[in-house]
Amino acid sequence: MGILGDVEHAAEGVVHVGGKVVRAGEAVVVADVSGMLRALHGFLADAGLGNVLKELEQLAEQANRLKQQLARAEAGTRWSGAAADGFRRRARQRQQQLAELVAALDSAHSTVATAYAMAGNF
Amino acid sequence: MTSLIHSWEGGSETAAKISHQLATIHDQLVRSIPSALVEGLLGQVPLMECFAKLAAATEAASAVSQGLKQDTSTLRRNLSGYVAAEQEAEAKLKAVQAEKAAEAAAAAQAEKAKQRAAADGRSQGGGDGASSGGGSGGGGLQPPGPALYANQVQVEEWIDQAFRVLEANGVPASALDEAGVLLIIEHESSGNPNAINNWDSNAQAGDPSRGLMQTIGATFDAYKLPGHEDIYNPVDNVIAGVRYAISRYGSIQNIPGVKAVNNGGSYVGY
Repeated sequence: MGILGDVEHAAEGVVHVGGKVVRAGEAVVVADVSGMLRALHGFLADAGLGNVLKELEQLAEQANRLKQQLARAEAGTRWSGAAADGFRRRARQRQQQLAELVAALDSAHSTVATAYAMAGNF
Repeated sequence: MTSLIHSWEGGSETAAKISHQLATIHDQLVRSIPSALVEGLLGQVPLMECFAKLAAATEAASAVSQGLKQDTSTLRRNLSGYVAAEQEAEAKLKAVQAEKAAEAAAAAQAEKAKQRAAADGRSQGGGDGASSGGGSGGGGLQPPGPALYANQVQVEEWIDQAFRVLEANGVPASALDEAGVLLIIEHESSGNPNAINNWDSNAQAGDPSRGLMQTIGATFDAYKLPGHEDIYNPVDNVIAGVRYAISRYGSIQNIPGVKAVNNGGSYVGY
């Protein structure tokens, strides 16, 4: 049984002691952190997840473009009255939500990048 | 507003796609990395944080998509409200215009009648003979009531009623042309069901043109339908007038006056 098998085996009740993974109550299964990182690297590569960072960048760009498009559409409309005022408030709310989405995507990108870097994918 | 609706609709779809793609990435990562490895690397690699942040971004994109979708529905409701209000205003405007046009036509008709009466007084006879059918017989030389000028909406209602009776009596709907009949009525009687022409050749022959479509008595009697036998009744008059016109000219569009106006010319009697 190789390192991956060891890790899969250690599905429940693991504890982390001084860089060793120990399965409580049973035979001790040990793997060091570097081994687990190599395993993580292998899983990510096998699952074809190498492009996740690029995908997240593209999605953030897409969300940003959408925000701009909606702003342009709202600015370009000639509409007045109470319903129009209500709509403009909603439109600003959607743009704010899109800004938050872009921020969430940036944050996810940065965290995934950290995880990938640690797994040695970069 | 239509382009705004398209932008919002497109935006909702784009946000939904972003959400879907993020959910796919999240699921792939969760499925691909064994939980034991995630737990084993706790504190070393922020895998749990990755999952959480991807899930949060997925939710955010989904919320945007739903919000834009709701906005689109609101915009659509607003648009249909505006369209309905616009149609109502247009209908009111049309009714007012038709009423004014009917008043103007009535005034013109009255003036014309006055001039003709004056001319008749000067030279006993000499009508213009532009009315339907050949003259013979036909009683009721006096209309049963005062001149009554209807607006276009009312006339259209009479035409519709007459068309329904005609269809029930075998006249195909394709042969019934409301615009053509309206045109004839406009020129023949200005929408007055009690109109009577007392000065033309038919009148001199003792059978004046009468009613909405100015049919002479003989023509009316030949083309009226049972139960619709009052020449001054607007619906009855249209029924007989249309039957006569289709019988003589093949269709309403073929009536010389209708044809002439449709070709940019002036109306001529039928």
